[in-house]
Amino acid sequence: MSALDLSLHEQAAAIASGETDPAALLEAALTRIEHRNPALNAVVATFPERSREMLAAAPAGPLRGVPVVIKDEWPLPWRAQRFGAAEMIGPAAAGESGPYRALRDAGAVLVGVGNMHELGASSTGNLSVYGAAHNPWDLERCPGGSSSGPAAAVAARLVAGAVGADGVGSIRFPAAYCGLTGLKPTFGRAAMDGHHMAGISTTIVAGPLCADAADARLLGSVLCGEELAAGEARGLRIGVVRDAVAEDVAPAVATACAAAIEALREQSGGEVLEIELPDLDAAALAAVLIANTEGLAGLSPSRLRRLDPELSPIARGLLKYRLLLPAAAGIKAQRVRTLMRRRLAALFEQVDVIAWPTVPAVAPPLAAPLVELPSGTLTADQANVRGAGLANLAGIPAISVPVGSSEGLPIGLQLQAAWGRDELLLDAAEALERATARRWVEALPPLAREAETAGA
Amino acid sequence: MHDPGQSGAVGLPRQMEASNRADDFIPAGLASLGIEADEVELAVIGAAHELFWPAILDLYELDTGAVAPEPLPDLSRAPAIS
Repeated sequence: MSALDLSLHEQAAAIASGETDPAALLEAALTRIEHRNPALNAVVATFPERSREMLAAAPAGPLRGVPVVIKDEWPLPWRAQRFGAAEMIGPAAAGESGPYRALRDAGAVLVGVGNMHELGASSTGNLSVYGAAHNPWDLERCPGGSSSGPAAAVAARLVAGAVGADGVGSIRFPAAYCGLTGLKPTFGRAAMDGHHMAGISTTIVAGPLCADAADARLLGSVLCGEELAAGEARGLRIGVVRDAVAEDVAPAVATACAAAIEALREQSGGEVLEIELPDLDAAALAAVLIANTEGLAGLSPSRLRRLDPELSPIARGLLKYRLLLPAAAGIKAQRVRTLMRRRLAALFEQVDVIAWPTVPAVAPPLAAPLVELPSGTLTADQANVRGAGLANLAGIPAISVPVGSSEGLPIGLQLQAAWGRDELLLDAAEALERATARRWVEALPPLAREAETAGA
Repeated sequence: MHDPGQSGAVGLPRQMEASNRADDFIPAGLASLGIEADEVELAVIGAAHELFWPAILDLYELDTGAVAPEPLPDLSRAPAIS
């Protein structure tokens, strides 16, 4: 087995102990990207000389010598971010970003930039200036967006960890679709400087995409600049919502998530409590409205008249529509934010985590990202945002954990906790892994299994 | 003095139905901004409008008047419960 197939923390430990040569690991990662990436389009840029320079200068940090991928949302000193698009509305320039500095100072080695959905505008990842990334579990399926490339890269074991960003579910969607553990930290907790929306966005936060919770804890700690200390999830009070929105979920997803919630309850010796959390649809819309209008300062009719023709018609149309959104909707959205934050604060007096499916159906086809739900056929974006927007709206941390499979595609359970309780989510995710004998976090997609057999 | 019946006298319906028809809203909105959109962009804008507008109308109907504002919210922390 290649050291690349070790987990993120195992790679770090093997390098620290001298068991693994980090230079050999870096070259193996670059070679694996060459072999596996053409089918995936997960990594859109590599820079071997820069990677070797990073390794040569790597300090003895917690990720010394460990290869990682970063989403095309963050600038690097040698490369401006492209945000998955021919043209960004915000400023794009090469430079140091908070996640870059955090990784560099931890000793990590950036081996590539991860693909992403154009302008971060979808949960699917089926559109990008680089071409769509593909889901390693089924190359014709969506990898999830907008952090499509980072997720596909980790799921295919090109690297053991990748950095994404989550403005409305953009870490959790691809984590669920690709069978990974993806953490959206509490708003403001992870390094954000250098992002083109830093100081503007009230929803976006950087976070890790990894195979399991231990790796997400390690990479998340680096990104947050503080240890997300491990504890025991004991006596968890797990809140579940039973209403028309929360239960409009594909049967296989509902079954897997219900089983996982019960397994988590049993493992932690806790209890499951039915809770009321009305207006989830309004909360999701509020999150979308806020996320889609916070960047409008740089948008003007004259700018819209000279958009890059290489920008997709979908992006051009959506940008134009953004300027038509009424200000009153934004005001209402902010008041819904206040309402939901207060409701959550009260709820988190009664429960430790709130659990529901990360997405209501498994990854849809790239060519037609529609999902079949009990209520009918919806676009994946329309369906997915319902469960994801709340955490971004309120600022609370959330995690997606793999808990099952249907049609050979992963199913993710989302856990949300009170502000600053990111560690509890990781503890709960680890408890769930123990309860399921790590079956779902150790599952490999066909592409990685076949390549492993072939020695690629 | 305002006579509610006058609206009918000038040809306006007494009660307007909300509409999510992109045909009504989009061309006027784009024209007011002086923006052109090609056929594909118009289809995208129309689809987005048909998706968003009913939800925005529902949002407008949500009575948030009694929700006390949270001045300068710190989104990294819990709000004060009131």
